[in-house]
Amino acid sequence: MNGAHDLGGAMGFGPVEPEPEDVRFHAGWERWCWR
Amino acid sequence: MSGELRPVDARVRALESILVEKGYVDPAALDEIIETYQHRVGPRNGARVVARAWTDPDFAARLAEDATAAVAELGYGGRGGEHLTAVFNAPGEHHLVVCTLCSCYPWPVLGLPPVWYKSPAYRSRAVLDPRGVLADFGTSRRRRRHRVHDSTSELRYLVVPQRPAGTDGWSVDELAAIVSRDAMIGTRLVSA
Repeated sequence: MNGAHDLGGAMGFGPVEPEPEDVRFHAGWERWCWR
Repeated sequence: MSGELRPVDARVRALESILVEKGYVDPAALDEIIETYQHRVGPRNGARVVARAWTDPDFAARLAEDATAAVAELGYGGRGGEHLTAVFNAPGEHHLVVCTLCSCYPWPVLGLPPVWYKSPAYRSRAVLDPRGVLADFGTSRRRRRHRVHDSTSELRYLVVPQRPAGTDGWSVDELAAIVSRDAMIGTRLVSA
């Protein structure tokens, strides 16, 4: 673990970036390690 | 770089190769898990729960009392859904779900969590500035109390959005079709 785990209330991470709901995976490797 | 694997691709494939060669995992099982969560388990399940709650007050009451049992009535449950709680949006109250520690999420009813749900931006700011997070989604809930629920691996939440006006007489299927994943996390509203 390289960083803080509990991020609640931390600042400086910028806006949330929504994405379309039909997007399940963005690259091939995500299919194999999504959990 | 063309034709070469990116480092993360190479690492994932190397790990999978080792696990398969040692007999720890079955490639067919991996494919089945991916197939299940890509096509069979997803937010359509949660949408059916919401639509049923909108049309069946007795079910809504059971959902409020014991969401795990009520969701099981529709055949949904299992890993990541052992202890579910349903929270109901109301005219004066809006619910938003986050996991500030990691990405705990009600898998049997919503499927794969979206990337933004797991992002530091969402996890940090959902509790600090929920109205600002909603604005990132183009959602505005003025003059309402905002309640933010921090999930754990044991306790996971499903938001039941408010049923939109103009949907009287709609069937469960018709209603389920307008319920989005994001609405069941609390970052968007449902509109007809």
